Amino acid sequence: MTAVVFEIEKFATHDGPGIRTVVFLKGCPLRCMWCHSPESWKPEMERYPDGTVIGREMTSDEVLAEVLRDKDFYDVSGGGLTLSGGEPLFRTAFSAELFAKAKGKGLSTALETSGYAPAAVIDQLSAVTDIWLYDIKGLDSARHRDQVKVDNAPILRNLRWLDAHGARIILRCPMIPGVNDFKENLAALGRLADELKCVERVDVEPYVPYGIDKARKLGLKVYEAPLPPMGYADEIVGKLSRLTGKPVRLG
Amino acid sequence: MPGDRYSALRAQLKAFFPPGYCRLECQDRRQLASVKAICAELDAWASAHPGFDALDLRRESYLSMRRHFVPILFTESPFYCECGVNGGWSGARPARHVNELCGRFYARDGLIPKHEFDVLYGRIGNRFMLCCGPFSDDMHHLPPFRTILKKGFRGVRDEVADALARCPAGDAHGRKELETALVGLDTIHEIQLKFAAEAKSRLEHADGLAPEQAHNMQRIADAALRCPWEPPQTFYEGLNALWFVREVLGYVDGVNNYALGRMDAWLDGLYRADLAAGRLTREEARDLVSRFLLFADAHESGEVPVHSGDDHEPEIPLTLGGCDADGVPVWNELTRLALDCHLALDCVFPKLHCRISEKSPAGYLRKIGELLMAGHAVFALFNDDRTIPQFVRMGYSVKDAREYTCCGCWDPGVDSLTDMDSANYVSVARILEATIRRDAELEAALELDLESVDGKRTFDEVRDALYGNFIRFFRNVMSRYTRYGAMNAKVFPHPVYTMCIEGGIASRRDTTEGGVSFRPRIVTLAFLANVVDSLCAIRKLCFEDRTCTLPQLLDAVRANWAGADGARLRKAVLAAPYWGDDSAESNGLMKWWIDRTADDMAGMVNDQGGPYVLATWIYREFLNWGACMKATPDGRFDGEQLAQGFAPSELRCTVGATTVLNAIGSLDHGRLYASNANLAFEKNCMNAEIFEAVFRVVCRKGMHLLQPNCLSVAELKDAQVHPERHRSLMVKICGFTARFVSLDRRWQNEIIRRHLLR
Repeated sequence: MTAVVFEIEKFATHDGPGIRTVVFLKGCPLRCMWCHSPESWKPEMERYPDGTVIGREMTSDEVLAEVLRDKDFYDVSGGGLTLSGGEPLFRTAFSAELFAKAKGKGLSTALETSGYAPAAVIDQLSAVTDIWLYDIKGLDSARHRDQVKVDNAPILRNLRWLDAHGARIILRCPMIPGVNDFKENLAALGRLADELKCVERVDVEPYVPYGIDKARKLGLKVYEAPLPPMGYADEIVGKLSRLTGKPVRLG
Repeated sequence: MPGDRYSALRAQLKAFFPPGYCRLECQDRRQLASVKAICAELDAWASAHPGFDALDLRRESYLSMRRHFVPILFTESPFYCECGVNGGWSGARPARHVNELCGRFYARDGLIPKHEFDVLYGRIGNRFMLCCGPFSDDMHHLPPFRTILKKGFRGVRDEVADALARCPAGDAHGRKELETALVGLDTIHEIQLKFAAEAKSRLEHADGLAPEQAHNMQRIADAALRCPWEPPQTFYEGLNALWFVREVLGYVDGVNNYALGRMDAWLDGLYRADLAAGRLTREEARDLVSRFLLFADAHESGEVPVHSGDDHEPEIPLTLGGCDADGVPVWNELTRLALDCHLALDCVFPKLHCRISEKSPAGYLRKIGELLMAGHAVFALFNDDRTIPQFVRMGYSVKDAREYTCCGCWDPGVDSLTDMDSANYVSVARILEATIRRDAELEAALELDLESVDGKRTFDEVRDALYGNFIRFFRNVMSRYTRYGAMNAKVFPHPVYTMCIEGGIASRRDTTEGGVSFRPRIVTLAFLANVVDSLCAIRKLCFEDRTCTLPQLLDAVRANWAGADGARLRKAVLAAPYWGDDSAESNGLMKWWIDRTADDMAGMVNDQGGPYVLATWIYREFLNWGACMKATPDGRFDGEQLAQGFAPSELRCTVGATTVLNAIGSLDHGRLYASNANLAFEKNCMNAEIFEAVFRVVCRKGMHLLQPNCLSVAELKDAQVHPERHRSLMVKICGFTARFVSLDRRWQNEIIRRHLLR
């Protein structure tokens, strides 16, 4: 089975426990207005205007072989493979196959996801996923539809299902100045983290404007938020820490 | 750090070690007068005895030192050891004067033909080789710590006297070596007693001594009556013995001992006994360790900008961690104290050489990681899992191998068993340059015919021709080192040092004659990464992709990549595989070169009858020699820097930490005696736990040594603008650490340019 991989990041130390390799798959049903990787939206390979190809069709065996080159690092750090995107749930079969093979090699598996998928997909992936890096972009439904272009109801429903089934979960919260960093959203995030017994931690991920140039080259548009002021990230971490009993840290 | 608890001690030491002292004579007026008196006596004696030999003069120097030695004490310090040697690089001192007087023998006795001097120091020394001293490195010797901690200098003297009594009548030379050593050992005893007398005198004229100062003098007055002539019996005496052994042998024999030994492994028994007996509190121990460390740190001169060479590098490594002789991990209170105090005192020196293994305690490895995260990059990390088995293969017992110490920037050795010599660098990149540009002067000087690669029709022919040039150069030069290095015995004998090393007493032969049991000489291959990258580019462009012919590529290199064609070819070169990318091409070439060299140098015997062993590190020359080297096929322009050890070329590397470490780990490091990977990690990606994991991988992959930096470019650039905010930011340059703000702009920029692994 194949998928289009647009990046493989090694020595990743912020995307799950230990030292990991993050494999980014193309294809995403969301259209986050601040997206920092708009080149991941389309599921197929494409080109920038200068001819640079985005993505490479790879089999799960090819991906696994590349990931296994760093097995020594996973072994000593408790790390492993993280699948990201795009949205890896968009490539359900490939993701499930790759994770199954990875677990067969003794690797830890982490899925960085928006959680936007049918319940059956979550069920299928939960069998081979050790830890869920679960993005929560906002808890107000109307704002979510406006900013991300999809409903957040299935996202929250899947999250609760995972929690009920004992999955290890880390909430990842992108913080976009003026977009979703208002106090009601932070308070709702705090309540959500406390409500879910399997949420181990909340990671705050401050806005980075990496997507703007790439979107421009691809004829797309992403929102250019004001750059967070000095100390912004620590301030958000501090606020959230006061709103939840779960650990909060900078992601 | 004015105003801290140790500001008075810092002030006293700073007055004695003024900025730039590494290039100065000892500045203490009494000590300086003493040195001059001794040198004058030796000049007079040499003039009166024109037929003297080196042992004669060494003996006279011992006697003169006995008469004129002036002990230097610091009232803020309980330690007695300062002999005015002033670190590794400085000028006048008695033992070095002996060497200078005996150096005349080279010419007087025709030991080395004059033209060979010209070749070896002029032509070869010019960016091909670096050798610290005339065929002998008088700086990297390993002090015989364990011998003295175990039996004291008196124990050595007893054994020498016994050997002398049993010396066959026909062995006049052996008898003379032993007799001379006895005189030297008695001189050391006299020196020690002079410290006791000086302290006593200070106490007798105690006006103005604060109670703590008087306490220090009293400790010295008592302890210096017996130790280290006798073995230390307390933790305090043990600490002092480490410094004393290091300094006094540099003074009497001119063997500059850099290492400061293994405080935590060797003194833990004394420490715990003192605590149990109520002789020492933990607070007192912290104070002793702090003053012990500050004595080393005083040798650092933060006021002197680091430019090119010797101005900043007193070379004082302290080894920590690892395991003891029984294989039990050393991670004890003393290890923690040393690490904590080093950070708290903001020390640059001593360098901390931490021994690690895949099985090291997590707390130990994380503590090192914490210091790195704090901007305290003072570490060289030695892999026990590689080094201990390697010493066993060389013939050391397992127990001795486990006791190895690190004696210079990155060279391991087993004290009391090994006479080290460790700074012969061979620039492989220079051979590449000479091959491309046909260095006629070099060829004539060495009677060496370099084979051209221009007309080669296959890649293997190119590679083999270049290697052939290298190995013929290598053999040629090393045979000269073996031949002429053997003359050291007639010029630079070290009788006292010899007797403290295993085999010296039994053989009755000086270390310079091969009298001790283990006598490897390290030869390091410098800039191999540039050569591997060049070969990768040649293979890719000229024999695989056919982007150009070999002559076209070499012409572009000779033209320093000038013009549109040069730029085009250079762009293609930079897209070729390179060392560090973990490709089969670059890994294979690096392995091929090292394995071939190791095979070809097997059996080569050094001037002391021991083996030449291989390493792959380089000191500041990666910048200094790069500045005077022409362009190379790896895309380097004229004058650009070269690569360091097993680190990828900074001009090429774009890959991440795991890729680089996998590439280095692909080699058979067992073919090497030592090697170095000087790698910088991006601070944002790291924490103590991640460092712990990286260290374990380094060990698992069998590497010898990691010198880690943990950097943030933003922080470094801010330090250039606001140095006052970043005084404590320390960086590992190559074999040494410096405050980033004390580096000159060229070195600061070199650090900022480094590819940060993430």
